[in-house]
Parts: sequence; C-alpha cells; structure tokens
Amino acid sequence: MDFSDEDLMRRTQAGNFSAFEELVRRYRGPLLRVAASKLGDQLAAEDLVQESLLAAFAARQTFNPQYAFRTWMWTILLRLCQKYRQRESRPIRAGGSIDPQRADGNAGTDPCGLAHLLQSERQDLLHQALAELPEAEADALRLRFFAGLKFEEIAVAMASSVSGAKQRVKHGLERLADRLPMLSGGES
Amino acid sequence: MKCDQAFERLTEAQFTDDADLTRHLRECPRCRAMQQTLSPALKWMRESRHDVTEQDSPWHQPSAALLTEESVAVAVDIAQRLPRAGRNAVMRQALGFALVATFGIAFGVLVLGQHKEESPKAVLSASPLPKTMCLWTQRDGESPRQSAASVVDSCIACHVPAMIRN
Repeated sequence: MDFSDEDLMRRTQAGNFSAFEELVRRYRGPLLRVAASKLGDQLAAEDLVQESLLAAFAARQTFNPQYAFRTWMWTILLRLCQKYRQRESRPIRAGGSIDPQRADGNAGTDPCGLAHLLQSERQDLLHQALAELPEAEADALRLRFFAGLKFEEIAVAMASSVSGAKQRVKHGLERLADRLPMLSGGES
Repeated sequence: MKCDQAFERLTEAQFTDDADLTRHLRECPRCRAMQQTLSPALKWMRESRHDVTEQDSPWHQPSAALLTEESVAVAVDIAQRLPRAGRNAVMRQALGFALVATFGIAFGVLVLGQHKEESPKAVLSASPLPKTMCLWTQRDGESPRQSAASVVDSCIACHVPAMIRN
C-alpha cells in the first residue's frame, strides 16, 4: 500500500521510525539534486540533505500532517542552503573544471567514460549558468525541474505568489536560453 | 487549454506531449513563440535532472553528527509557520473582500444618497403644488423642479377646454 507523505509522518510521530525511512527514500534524491545544484558542491550537498532530513526527523512532533510534508521539507532545505551559503560566504564552485583523476578513472575502466565526461561537463555548465541567475529565479528553476514541484508548492516554499513563482521560472528559462549556448560554445 | 495551463505543461519536469497542448500551441502564436524561445533551456534542465549523481548509500538515522540545534530550530520554525501562512493567506483574502465590500457599500450609499437628493421623483413627491396649477405663470416663483407629467398636466389645465377634459 502506498502511503501519502503525511500518513508516513503521522506514523513517524506515533513512533514508527521506519515510516520516516520511506520518506527519506522518497526525498533524498530530489533534495540532493537541488542542493548539489545550488551549492555547487556534491559533498556539502550531501551533508546538507542529511542535516535537513535529520532536522525534519528531530522536529517531527511540531509538524502538522494536515499540511504538505513536501512543502515543509523543501522549505527546510532551502533555508539551510541559505544559511550554509551565509556561513561559507565563498564563491560557488559550480562549473568548468573536471577532476583529472575522475576523468582518467572513467576513461580507463568505463567504456562510456567519454559520455560521462561530456555529461558531467554539460551538467557543470548548467550549474554555472544557474549560479549566474538571480537566486530566486535559479531556486524556482531547481524546484520546478530537479524537484518536480508544482507552482503552488514552489510559491509556498519560496514565500511568493503562484504567479510570482511562474514569472521566476519563465524569466529564469529565458536567461538560461540566452546564456547556455554562449557557455557551451554554440551547442544547445 | 489556456495559456497559463500551457506554460505549466511546458515547464513540467517530466514532460510528455499531449494532444491538448499540441492543439493549443498550433492555435496560439504567443505560446508557440515562448516554447521556441525556452526550448534550449528546457532541454538542458530536463536532461540535467537525470545527470545529477544520486548516491545509493542508505540513510543512517543514528549518524546524527550533522544535526545542529540551528537546523532543528529552522525545521520547527517552518513547521509552525506553514499553517499560519495558510491561514494568513485566507485571512488576507477575506480581509481584502471585506474592505472592497465596505468601500463598495459606502460608495453606493454615498452615490445613492446624492442621487436621491436630486431625484425628480423625490422632488415631485415633496412638491406641495396642485396638479392643475399653471406652472408657466408660476415660473418666476420658487416652485421646485417639476416632472414632465406635471408640466403636461399644467398645460392641459390651462389650455384644453373643460368640456373636453371632462
């Protein structure tokens, strides 16, 4: 039987912690996608996602299951990402460089090494382009595409109106459409 | 399908084309142009979605070294704000409606009040003049404004012979 997120939270609140593991299974990947893109640092993203999930678990009794768990979880992640960035206050590492060891390793052992490299480079370019956008637009795009959130959910997570969320996504995409071909040297 | 819905469909993370959207794009040049403009960015965003590395390592609840008081406080704060945010939105909306309704009623009362003061019917009903009184001869006096019917009555009273009137 497929329980809703809120049902799983009710069970977690009642002491069934394996229900929270199911929530972790559902959310960890999408949270990691967004955090990695936002921070430009996979390891930091993993730590932050872990921290977000642990924080949700620790604060489980304060959550009202009548409201969307999804919105709560995403808002926690965005807020912790902001705090992390404030703490670190260093330039984002997204974009450009490819680790030579990773490249050699892939090329030597994986027949699809080159494809992986290209994929990785493409991903770095996108994250670089996202990092150049106004933060609100980049976040709205990440939540829409990497997390698969509805505009209503993005609006709540970002404390904006629904039309504001749509505008952010639209303007962000317009800027990306201008910028990405330049970054990738004409590729689109 | 409306343009707004078309935009939502076009920007879905897992896009699947459908007949409604295709029809809308065929008929709406504005959305078609938007789709063409955004398509490179949409392609990158969607493809990158699958590229991002997801480690399969299991989540270990006991490894709570990353948990800080600050992050728990954030989670608690957001949990408490979520319901309030929803209620606030409803209350703001209700307050907005109430304000608009109040202004509407006040405006209506004001306009109707003015209108009532100037209403010929009101003036007529307040007029003490008899129907047969000649308004022409009284025109220099302080007779109030009269309705068209009373002017006609007045003229008939003076100029139409009594035998015809009766």
